Amino acid sequence: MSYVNVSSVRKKYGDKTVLNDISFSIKQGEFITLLGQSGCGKSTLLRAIAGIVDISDGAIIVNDKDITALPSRKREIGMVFQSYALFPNMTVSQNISYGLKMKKIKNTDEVQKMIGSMGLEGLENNYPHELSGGQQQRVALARALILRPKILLLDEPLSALDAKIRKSLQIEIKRIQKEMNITTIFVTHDQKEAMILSDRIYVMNNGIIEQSGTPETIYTRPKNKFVAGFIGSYNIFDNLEMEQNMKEHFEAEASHVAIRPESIQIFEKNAGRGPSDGTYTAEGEVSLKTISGSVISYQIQLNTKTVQVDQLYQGEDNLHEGDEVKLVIPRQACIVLE
Amino acid sequence: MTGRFKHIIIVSVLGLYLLVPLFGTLLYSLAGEWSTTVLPESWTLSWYKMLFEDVRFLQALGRSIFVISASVTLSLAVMLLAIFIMTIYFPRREKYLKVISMIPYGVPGVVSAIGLLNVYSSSIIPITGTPWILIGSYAIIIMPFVYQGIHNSLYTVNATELIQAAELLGASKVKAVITVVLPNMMKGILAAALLSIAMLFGEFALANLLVGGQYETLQIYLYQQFSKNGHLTSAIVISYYFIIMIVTGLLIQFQQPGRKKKFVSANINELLLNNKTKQNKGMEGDLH
Amino acid sequence: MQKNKIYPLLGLLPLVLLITGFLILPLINMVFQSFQSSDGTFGVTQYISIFGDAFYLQAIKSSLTISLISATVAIIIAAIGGYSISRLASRANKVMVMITNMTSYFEGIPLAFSFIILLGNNGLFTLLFSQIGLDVFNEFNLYSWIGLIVVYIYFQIPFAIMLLLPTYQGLKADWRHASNLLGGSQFSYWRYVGIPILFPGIVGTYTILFANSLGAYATAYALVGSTYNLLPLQIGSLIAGDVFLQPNLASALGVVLATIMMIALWINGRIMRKVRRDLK
Repeated sequence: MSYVNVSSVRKKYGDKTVLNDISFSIKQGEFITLLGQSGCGKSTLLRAIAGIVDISDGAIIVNDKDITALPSRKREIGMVFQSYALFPNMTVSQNISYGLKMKKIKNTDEVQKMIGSMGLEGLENNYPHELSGGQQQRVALARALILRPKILLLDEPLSALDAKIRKSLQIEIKRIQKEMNITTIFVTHDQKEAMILSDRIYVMNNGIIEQSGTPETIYTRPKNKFVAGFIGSYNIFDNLEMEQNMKEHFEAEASHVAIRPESIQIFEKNAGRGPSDGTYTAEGEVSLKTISGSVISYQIQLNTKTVQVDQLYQGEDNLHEGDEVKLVIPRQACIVLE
Repeated sequence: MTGRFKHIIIVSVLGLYLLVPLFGTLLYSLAGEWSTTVLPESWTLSWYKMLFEDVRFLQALGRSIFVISASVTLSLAVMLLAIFIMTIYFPRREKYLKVISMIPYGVPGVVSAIGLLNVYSSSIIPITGTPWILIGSYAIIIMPFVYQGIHNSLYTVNATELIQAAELLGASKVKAVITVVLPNMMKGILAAALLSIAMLFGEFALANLLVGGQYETLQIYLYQQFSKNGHLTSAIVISYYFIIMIVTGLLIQFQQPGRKKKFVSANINELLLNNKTKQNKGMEGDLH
Repeated sequence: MQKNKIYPLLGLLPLVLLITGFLILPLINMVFQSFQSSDGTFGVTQYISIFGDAFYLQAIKSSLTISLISATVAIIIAAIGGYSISRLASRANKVMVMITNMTSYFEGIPLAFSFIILLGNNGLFTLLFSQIGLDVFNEFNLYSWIGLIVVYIYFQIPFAIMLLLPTYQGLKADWRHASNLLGGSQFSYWRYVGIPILFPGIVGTYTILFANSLGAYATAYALVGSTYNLLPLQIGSLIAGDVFLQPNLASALGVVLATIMMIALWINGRIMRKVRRDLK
């Protein structure tokens, strides 16, 4: 049963269409991510759902109620802003209880509980500028959650934080979201973050949704060139390039194929592996080798193209820059793009 | 949309209100016969002609330009030297410079005139009635703006790092300042100078009380003409407004985006500085 | 002191000389003189004569009144106008900032003259309104305290707007959005977030305006000469020209004026501390 329904939403600024006929629906308790580069319309879409920007066309329905025309204060939507937008003149607990105050609810227990569950004890009377980035983030989250909103919107909330705090907050956000079973829309340009957090991902580009699906689908079955290029570091070949670089004849099914770097096997040129059924093979030279953690990435120069090959680091590696190599690519690893 | 309309109306009324004195004076300076009608009966440029043929006016203008350029140069030179020395050699004491250069902001012209007259009319240096006392006191009253301007542009160009980089490349401190820091600060220094010029062109209290008719500057000349010929006076006033317009126009050109913001708010902050430092101490006290 | 820091200290000398000669020494001298009676004995006779003289008390009172009224009216207009300016599209905003910037330098003698042309006995508006039969300016006299207030308000407004604009630019749109999403109305946004955040800037500006008109000399001198009883005008007339009439009395009045300003700043600080504990 869909809980949030966004149907045919359009947003124009003058002649420029920022959101072009966006439709999707979210189930209760789902965590979805709008993923895309800056300027793709993801933040505008989020702000449209929050009621901060008006939409030119379309409807937003939450729990069978059309909220398109409602002012944001009546939408029962919580949001964490990219800048956090904490009120600088209020303490942590004043910031968190602001929403209750607006509803004329006096519930110090609730505030205290929230402060506790966010690990903000002892900071109640501090002002935002006295907090670290991670702490400010927690306050912003607490402030958004205290009213038990129907939807929680997160606008790149982790982008200002350093890598370590980012990781721990990702886990914490996911935990809280599960605990409260709160429908969440997350906006980011970081595909790894999207993969970690989301139940489903919507890849956006130029005001439209290019593809939607579970992280696994998005990663393993990119629908088109844009998604393949944006997710992971797919090697993308057009028909001509396949013909030029692969030893076997290539049956063109569509204009492009995408090949994940880790699906390619790599051998020394003279290793005794011949071509077998169901694989493509290619020969080339290692032009660059980089190691990041457990993965070794090779850039291999083929006839007319450079491809990336990722291998798990096994302790023994015999390949070096300048080595002649042979690549073996299973046919089912070549993903046909639209 | 109605909200935006409301803002446009408010701003238009405000703009009109602010510009009315300018237009009224302009009208009057161009009017020939004008006594009982609402708009002038005839138009003429003769007041401007008369004004620019008046040797006394040109001399007064010249004196103003001399006093103002001398005091702005003095203030800038002295302050630049001091700020560089403080930033390079005593960076942690730089705040004292700030506090000291803000004092003139809280002392009105009439008040500082009292002490200046006390000191300089009867003492060993009798400079009252001469341009020198004006130059000295003008250099002081623009000091808060000169300090802020220089300080902000030092901060914007990241002077400390520039100097360190230049030193690593073999420059001496002095050389680093002259070849790297100063050229980058030119815009900021010019902005501070223009701001000071605009302020000083309108200064009357010190000019009148310290030198008066003995060294007739533009403002003194204006006051002397005040009750004599209204049309001529309005031509002087328009010339003055024109100068201000050019100087502030240039000022906007020279102010990098964001500069003004820091500049003005810094001034408010300075006024509150003392209280705030006290307040911070108070807060720390509460925590323990 | 390290040896290599002695030469740099020499570079501070020009500033020290300038400040001592034209700021510190005169100020100290003024305070010192204010505690001397005319025959040279040390004491508070000057202050006794000021606070015992209805004339000077009235000067203090009118100076305070005129400053309070003009600062109050100007801050209200500037707060509203400044907000509207900050909400304009960028081009209109630029033009308005230019106009306010320019007019914030219009003061003193030239401004007094402009107002005489507009509102004086034969002023443009005086004539215009009497011709269309509106007698609003019949009662109005530019050369009185009400006239002074009108001119003071005029020169305070652009000045106040220039000081307030940065504060308005500091208001983040996201704060309003956050307040709205949390159920706050337009009113509660202003009541709990907008005004509290603007407040220090407004109070600070108000204090500056108050001090500004308290010390203003040129405008009043041009409009009413020494005929209207204001503190700066009285000080001016005691020291005007080369005949130094009563330096000790003038010094004491100067100290009184400076003290009032310091008290204003002190009250300002007190208010700040009460209202905004979060200020750093």
